[in-house]
Amino acid sequence: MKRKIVIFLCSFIVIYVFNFSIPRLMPGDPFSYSSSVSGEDNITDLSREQIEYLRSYYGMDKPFFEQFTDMVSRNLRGDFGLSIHYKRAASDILAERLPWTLFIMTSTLALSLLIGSLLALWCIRSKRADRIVYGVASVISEIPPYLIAILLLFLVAANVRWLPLSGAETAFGVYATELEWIKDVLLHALLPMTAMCLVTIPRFYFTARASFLGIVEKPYILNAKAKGLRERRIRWRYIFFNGITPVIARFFLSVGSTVGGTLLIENVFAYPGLGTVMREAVKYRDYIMIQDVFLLSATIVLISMFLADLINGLVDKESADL
Amino acid sequence: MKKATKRLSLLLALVMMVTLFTACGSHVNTAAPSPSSPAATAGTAAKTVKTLKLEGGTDWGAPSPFLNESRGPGTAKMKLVFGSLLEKDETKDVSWLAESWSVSGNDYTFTLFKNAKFHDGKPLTTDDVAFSLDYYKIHPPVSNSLGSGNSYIVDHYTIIDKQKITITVKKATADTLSDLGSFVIIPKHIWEKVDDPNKFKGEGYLVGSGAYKCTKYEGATGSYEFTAFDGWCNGKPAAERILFVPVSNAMLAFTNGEIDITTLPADLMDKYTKDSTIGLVNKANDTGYKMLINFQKCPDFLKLELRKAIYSALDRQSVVDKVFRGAGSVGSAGYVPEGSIFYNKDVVKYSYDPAAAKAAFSGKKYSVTLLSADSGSDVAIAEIIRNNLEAAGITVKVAAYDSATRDKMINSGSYEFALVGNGGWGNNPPNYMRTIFSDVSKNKGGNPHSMGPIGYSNEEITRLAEGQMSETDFNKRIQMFKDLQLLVSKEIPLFVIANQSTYSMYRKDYYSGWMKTYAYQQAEQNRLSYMAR
Repeated sequence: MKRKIVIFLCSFIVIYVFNFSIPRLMPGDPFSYSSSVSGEDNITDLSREQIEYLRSYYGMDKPFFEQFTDMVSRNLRGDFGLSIHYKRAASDILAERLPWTLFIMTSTLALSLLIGSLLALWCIRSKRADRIVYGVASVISEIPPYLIAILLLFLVAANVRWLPLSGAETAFGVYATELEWIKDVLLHALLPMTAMCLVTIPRFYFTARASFLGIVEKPYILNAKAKGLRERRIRWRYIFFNGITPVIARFFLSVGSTVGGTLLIENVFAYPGLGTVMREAVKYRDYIMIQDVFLLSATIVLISMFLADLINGLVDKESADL
Repeated sequence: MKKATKRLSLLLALVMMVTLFTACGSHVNTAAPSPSSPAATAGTAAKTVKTLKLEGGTDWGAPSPFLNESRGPGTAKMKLVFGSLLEKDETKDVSWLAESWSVSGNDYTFTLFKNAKFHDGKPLTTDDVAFSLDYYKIHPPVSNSLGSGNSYIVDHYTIIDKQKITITVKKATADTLSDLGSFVIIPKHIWEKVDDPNKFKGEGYLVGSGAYKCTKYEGATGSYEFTAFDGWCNGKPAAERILFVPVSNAMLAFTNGEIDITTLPADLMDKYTKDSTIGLVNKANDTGYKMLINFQKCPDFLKLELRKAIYSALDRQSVVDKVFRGAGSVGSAGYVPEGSIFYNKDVVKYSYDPAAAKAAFSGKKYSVTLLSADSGSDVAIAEIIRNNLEAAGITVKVAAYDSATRDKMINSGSYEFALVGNGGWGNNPPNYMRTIFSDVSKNKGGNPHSMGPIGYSNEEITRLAEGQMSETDFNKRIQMFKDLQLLVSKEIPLFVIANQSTYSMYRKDYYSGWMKTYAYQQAEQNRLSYMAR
């Protein structure tokens, strides 16, 4: 356990240093970026004096190492800096956006875990169903979620008026009750979650299928059948509960890919999560925001990996006991 | 094992619930007005409407002079809330917070409307104008027409009374009136206590002096609500509310009636121009592409005949046809696009003549790298240029980078040939002709659009580009620009590839007040578009 914690902390430190260095090593500059497209062309040209003032204001006129130590000291005090692009505290921006991303992410993973596991449980009974589901899942799991999102947007949402095309809630909506608001939020989340689930359900299905098939061959299942236990009881109490642990580990292992998928999908549906922040931070070379948003995503993934590791440890222990 | 599974399931459920209710707690808004379906208050084609809805979804910053994003949509929102002394209409500068003004040498005297006031009801006087000038000298705002440091244009000011102020500049130029008319007035009673405006979000930070109040701003969703200010001193706002709502696809949103104006893609022109209910704002030739040569790295191209041969090699019409889908025109060799009041129709016109180009480059075996951005239409245009130049005998390698990297490379001169595309060509040409072509003013800022040809100089071009700044007679100034364009077209310091036109479409029967100014074509960003006129 101690070893795992040390590895976790070392990984965090390496990511922290990379997060600071990489944006500053990228070509480009937050103050001289001025490329525009039509519609954004009234760009304020900053004079050299203004650029120097801003560099000094954001502490970017200091040597590289001094900037790093300043950041460490600030971060330790809970100050994550002022976004250059948004001109607001980066922590405020992340606090506004993170719940939406976590909502889509955790809901997607939980739904996928549930549906994927149930599908697997059903398929181990029926070889015909297994063949079909396995084939379809193999194809769908290879499609990038943002592509599914675009297809859903143009083929479904554009033709179904009651489905919202964008956002996480009705803009300027007024809700009489909390329940009304939750309904609105769920409706707005339907398409992004569907796009994500279509890709993640097959992953859980594959993991659960492999786990359940492994359990079906165990002697205690044969023993249970010989005792005359009901099929339903064997399936749930013996196969499902004993085989679900790797699926839960898959939940945490999937966090990394789900974070990536969610961030892209958010851009398709103008969903107010971390996705648009990350895109704009990179586009405008907002060093502070880039390092904070990547650090946050990396921390979420690291914690998930840590938890997955713990669960896998449990599985190994269980296998050894058996 | 069962216990562990049960605990994990509980943990998972808890995370989901916490996530949902954290979002719930911070986003329920029972105070905001209910969403209403658009309805004109005075029948169809009315000058005033209850609500105007536009594409939102992007956080362009809080509409404060110090917190807005420095691009058009950010500045435009701030200018709805904060008023300046003057505004621009289709042909000239017009009054905004100042009801009249006069110019005498370096002295610019402005008289404020007597009933001008801030959104909190406090009167707006020359004390606030003077305070804004002093404050901006120390704390330059995002959109800064006054300059900063040594380039600060104001020498001093004299307050004559509560309504009248004379601002004396260090040196009057043709743009000084516009510059003095453009800075926004902030309330002294709020900002005099603020030491760091870049962080100020305290009480009154959005109390402005403009025709609309910002009544809601949500950065995360890119939603803005502006409400007409009933104490506005100069005319009547055209909408009771202006809403910027998040959309995933603007065309779908327009079709579904979620927004009232959007950009019309060139491929759908036929469909919508036949629709009598649809009105169009033509942003003629507003986006342009030019090709720069770094003459320090490619000195052979200082020979004029080779530059003419490059124009002959380029099939610029194919850029208009294939990339812009016909919405645009071949670029004027004089730089200023057709449609601008400064455009010179008599500039030299270079036609596509591949045989002449091939003859000019025969046996020279030039090999160059063409720097381009990897977004928008840039790569497609770069490939057309590459094909054209290779057909003429120049080996070309296209190097495409993201825009920020491309900008950095252009600013540092790290290129041989470079393709630069940007919007705003239909803006006030004086602002860019000098910074691109004058040997004195070019390559000074951090903007690749203003980067002129490196390693090329021309005294006469510099004289005209600089001289127009001192010419206050408008007609004479236009003539100077025309002369400058003619010279640029003859000397070819750079290559103008093509200009793209874009169109905004709106429902005529609902609201048709969208307008362009003589200096800016983006109708959605002009505050006169939101005034009953």
